[in-house]
Formats: sequence, C-alpha cells, structure tokens
Amino acid sequence: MKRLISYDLPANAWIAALVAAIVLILAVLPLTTPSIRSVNMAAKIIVFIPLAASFILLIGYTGIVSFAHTVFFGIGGYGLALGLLNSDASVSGMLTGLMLGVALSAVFGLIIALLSLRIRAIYFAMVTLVAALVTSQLASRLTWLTGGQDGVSFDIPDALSPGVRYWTVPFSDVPVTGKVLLYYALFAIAALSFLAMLRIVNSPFGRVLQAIRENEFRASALGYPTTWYKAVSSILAAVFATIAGGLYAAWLGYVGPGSTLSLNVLTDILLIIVIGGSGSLYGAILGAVVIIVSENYLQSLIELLIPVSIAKSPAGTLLSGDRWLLWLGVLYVVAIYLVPEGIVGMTRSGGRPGDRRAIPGPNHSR
Amino acid sequence: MSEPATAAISATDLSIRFGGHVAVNNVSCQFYDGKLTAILGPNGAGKTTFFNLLSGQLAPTSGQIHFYGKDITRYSVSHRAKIGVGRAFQLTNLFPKLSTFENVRLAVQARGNLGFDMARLSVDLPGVNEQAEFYLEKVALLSKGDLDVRSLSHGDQRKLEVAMLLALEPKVFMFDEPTAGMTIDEVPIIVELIQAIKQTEGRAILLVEHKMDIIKTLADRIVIFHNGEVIADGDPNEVMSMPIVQDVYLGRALA
Ligand SMILES: Nc1ncnc2c1ncn2[C@@H]1O[C@H](COP(=O)(O)OP(=O)(O)O)[C@@H](O)[C@H]1O
Ligand SMILES: [Mg+2]
Repeated sequence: MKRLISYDLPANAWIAALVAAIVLILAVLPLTTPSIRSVNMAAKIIVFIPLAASFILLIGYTGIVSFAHTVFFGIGGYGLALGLLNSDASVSGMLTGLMLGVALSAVFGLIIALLSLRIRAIYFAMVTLVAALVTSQLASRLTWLTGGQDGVSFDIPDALSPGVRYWTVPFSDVPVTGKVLLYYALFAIAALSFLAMLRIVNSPFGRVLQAIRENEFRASALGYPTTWYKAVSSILAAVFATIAGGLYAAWLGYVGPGSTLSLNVLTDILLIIVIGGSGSLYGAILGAVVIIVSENYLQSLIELLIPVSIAKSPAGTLLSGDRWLLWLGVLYVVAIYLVPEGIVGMTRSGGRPGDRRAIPGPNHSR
Repeated sequence: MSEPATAAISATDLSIRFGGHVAVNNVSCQFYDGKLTAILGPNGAGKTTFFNLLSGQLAPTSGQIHFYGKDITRYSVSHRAKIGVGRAFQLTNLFPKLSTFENVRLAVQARGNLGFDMARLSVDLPGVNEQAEFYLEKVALLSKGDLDVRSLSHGDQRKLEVAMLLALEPKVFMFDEPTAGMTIDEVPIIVELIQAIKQTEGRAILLVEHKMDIIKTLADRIVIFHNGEVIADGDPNEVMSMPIVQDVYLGRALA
C-alpha cells in the first residue's frame, strides 16, 4: 500500500483520513445513488484531480507558471471526440484520437517549456494566457474541425453508453449501465494517472524538479541540465492534462470550447490549487472536492440556510442563492489568508521526514 | 611551471570584463593533480569570479579553459560538473526547503546519472541513500539529516556545502572560503576533510581562504590575486615573503 503511493503519505493523519474517505466515496458513489447530478459531480471531480495534479507538477514542482494548461485539456477532449467521430464510435478510434492528442500536447508542452526559458516569469504568464485564449478562439472558429462554438457531440462506444444495462445493485436498486462502467473506467485511469504522478515526483527525477524550483543555479552546478528537466516535466504535465481532457469529453459525450478551453476551466484549476495547495499532489484531491462540490451545492446550501423572506429583503440580496459565486470568491480570499499554502501545504514542510525511514538495506533488490 | 603532466584544470589568458571593470585580467594558471593551491587576495580581487569562470557560471570575455587538455571553455555549467569540475560556493547556496539528507542525495544521484530516472523511487535506489548518509556522516551532520536546510546554523550549512561537493566526487575541487563564518571548533573538521581529499589519488584542489593557519597546513602552492591579476604564484613560503605580497595583501586585508 505504501509502495503504491510511493511512500508519499499526506503530511498529517487528518488529511490522510480525508483523502481516504474521498477516494472511498468516489469509488462507491454510482452504486449507491441513482442521482445523476451527484454522479456527474463525482465524475467531474475524478477528472479534475489528475488535471489539477498535472498543474501542480508543472507549477508546484517545476515552478513554471503557465495558464496554457487548459489547452492540453482541450486537445485531449477534441482528440478523443474526433477519434470517435471518424471511427463509428469504436474503442480503437477513441484511443487513437486520444494518443494523437497526447502527441500534439507533448510538442506543445515542449514549446511552452522552451518559451518559459526565454521569457521572464510575468510576461511568460501573460503569453501563456494569450495562448490559451487564442486556442479557445481557434476552437470556436474552425467549425469544420471542431464544431465551432457549439462543440461536438459524439457517440461513445456502446459498451460504455447509458443504454446498456448490465446488472442491478441489490440493496440500492441502482442499475449498473454502460455509463456506470464508463465512470469506473474514468476512476481507474484517473487513479493510475495520479499514482503515476505521485511516483514521478518521488523519483530521482522528481527530486531534481524540486531542486530546480528551490535553486536552479545550484541544481545546474550539481550537474543537472536544468533546461531538459523543465522540458520533460512540462511535457509530462501536458500529457496528463490531455488524458484528463479525454476522460472529461468521454463522460460528457461532448466537447466544446466551454467545457475544456474556457476561462471557467482555468479558474477551476487555479481555485483547486489555491485551496488544496501546490506543495503536494494531494492538494489536487482536496481542492477538487472543495471547489467542485461548492460549485454544485453552494447555491442550494445558501438557499437552504437563508429563508426566502430574508433573501428577498434589500439587505438580503447578498445572501440569496444566486450569489453563490460571490461567496465562493469570499471563501477563496479567506483561504488565501488563512491557509496560504493550501489545505495540504498547511501541515507539510518541504523536507520529507519519512524519507529516510524507508531506506531498504544494500541487498534489497528493488 | 615545470610540471610535466597535463594540468587537471588550466586557464589560458583568461579575462572577463563587466562593463568597464575588468574583474579577471589575462590570468594564466595551471592546477595539477595531487596539489592544493591556495588562492589569496583582498576582497574584490576576483577570486570568486575566477572560480565562476572555471566552473562555467560566467563566460569569459577572452581566453580558454582546459580540463585534462580538453578545451571546455564553451561547456555549460552542468556539463562541467558532470565531467568532474566540482565547486562549493562562498555564499551558501543550497536547497533551503529540502532536508539536509535530500541535499546530499541530490549530489549523489547527480554523479550516478540518475536524474532522469522516474520509474523508481528515490528511497529504493541501491547505494544512493547509503552514500548520502556516508557523506553526511563525514561532516558530522547525519543526526540532522531530516531537518530542513533553512533551519540549520550557518556553520552547519557551510559543512553541508562541503558534503555536497564531496558527494559529487569530482576531479577538481574548488572551495570558496569554506570556513568563513564558522565557529572555531567547526573549522578542524573541514581542514581534515580537505586534507583527506589531498591524500586521494588524482585530485586537484583550489582553495580560497583567508585564515593563514589553514593555508600553512594545507597549501602546496599559493597564488595571489590583486585587481583581477595574478601578482604572485609559487611556493608558499617564497610567495608570502615577497615584498609585493606584503604590500598589497597582508598590509591591507589581514593586518
Ligand atoms: N556579475 C558581476 N557583475 C559585475 N561585477 C561583478 C560581477 N561579479 C563580480 N563583479 C566584480 O568583480 C570584482 C571581483 O569580485 P569577486 O570575484 O567576488 O572578488 P573576491 O571573490 O576576490 O572577493 C568585484 O569588483 C566585483 O564587484
Ligand atoms: Mg569571493
């Protein structure tokens, strides 16, 4: 078990318990509730965890602040969609489309990394933001390829579609459809991606990334060609974001500029990182849950807590459910003040006290 | 110089200019295996800049650098480190938010060319962790391995700087005032470590140091920098008794 998570335990028992609870809930949710809204929300969380984790790999571990991350998410979505459209919804078409997307993203990730070396941080951040907006515009304009503003709806392979019914869960009476199967495919791929990233950041390579973030000058003096490390890290982050994009499109059966490339998606990622913290990949899990759950339920929660009579009064406008976005903003600002390093960062120092405990003896073969 | 062997590292007509200021001016100097050369000179003489040129942090305005006969003037910093040009820094230059152990392990895994290994875990690398502990032990920091580097005392950070250079196991060791700011009882451990490197076959050591007793113990040769130029170079006793050295160096910086 500890090997699976690369000996990288969340810093404190509470956070570990929270993470475990989240994973458990996500794992059983579609078998316990027929609520489409809950399952959709859970699927979005599942997709955004590797997406945000890949952003943490880039920003938290490598120190490249790029806003072009949505571009990779979009490439994954469109790649999968076009693959399915051009192959009569076959699994191989889906995978081919996604793989082509991954290849394209890798090239783009390399370009981003090389740009970051040429341009200083603040301008680089602006350049990447422009790149994200331009890509979004391109997707809206190249109608023949992308379906333009409306995006593309497509059929998912039959085995994964809601119409196919496999089984009924005995106690909850929830039908296990192809869509539920798709949910678990998402879950498995997202989990594998997350564990792969966890391994990467705890490998010798990941340690070099941290060293570069801390003191690039010194890292190169130790003999690490830092440029190449940044490039590889940027490519890896791009690849994982692309996979997440493919997952999201598969779940929605749709891809469009709004669902993958828009500023809303970027805002989501940034909020997740701010809430969860960028010092540890676990921040992606906690951040994604907090942000996506509040986006879905803050409105209802506020409506539930604040009686209509108060909400309708002049002073009550601030408290009406429609203002949920405002309150999310407040939550965000409070979070920045209270937990500047995010929920996970709060209790974790850069050193990994556990590191040395796990050293195997010299004759250990692995 | 009359040594027949190829120099481990050598500078030929090396100069660097910052705007109008020539910080290193036409320096030619060879450094040989098995010898410790102390580099002296008042503050601002260009000693650190000379190191920066040798290890590649700065590119010379003119001149060449050779490493065992090979022209490395255009090599990047990381490339030079890889082939064996090792450097410890005057101003402590570490990874502050990583643990002491991790700082040394980064040096060990750099030497082992393991940096791009992303399939294995750091904790699993055969030998690497043991070697990191070995070098921490050498500077008496093993018990502080789990601490963040930023929480170490100045003296401990200086020792860690030395441990990282040792862990790189370079051919050429450049120490830039390794004992500066250390308490008196911390100095001997560094001196002993440098002595031990001298005893290892095939190592050239360049040491910038102000403490005369350390230089007397360790130096096989002294090179004096002044205003970016080498004004004296030779046997320690001879150099220290040269009038020009007494004037520019002892007269001003140490008296
Ligand atoms: N990057 C730089 N830009 C401009 N001037 C520099 C730079 N580095 C060093 N110098 C100047 O070069 C001279 C030599 O500095 P330095 O090599 O640090 O001296 P030392 O190590 O002998 O005390 C000083 O006058 C210093 O101000
Ligand atoms: Mg200096």
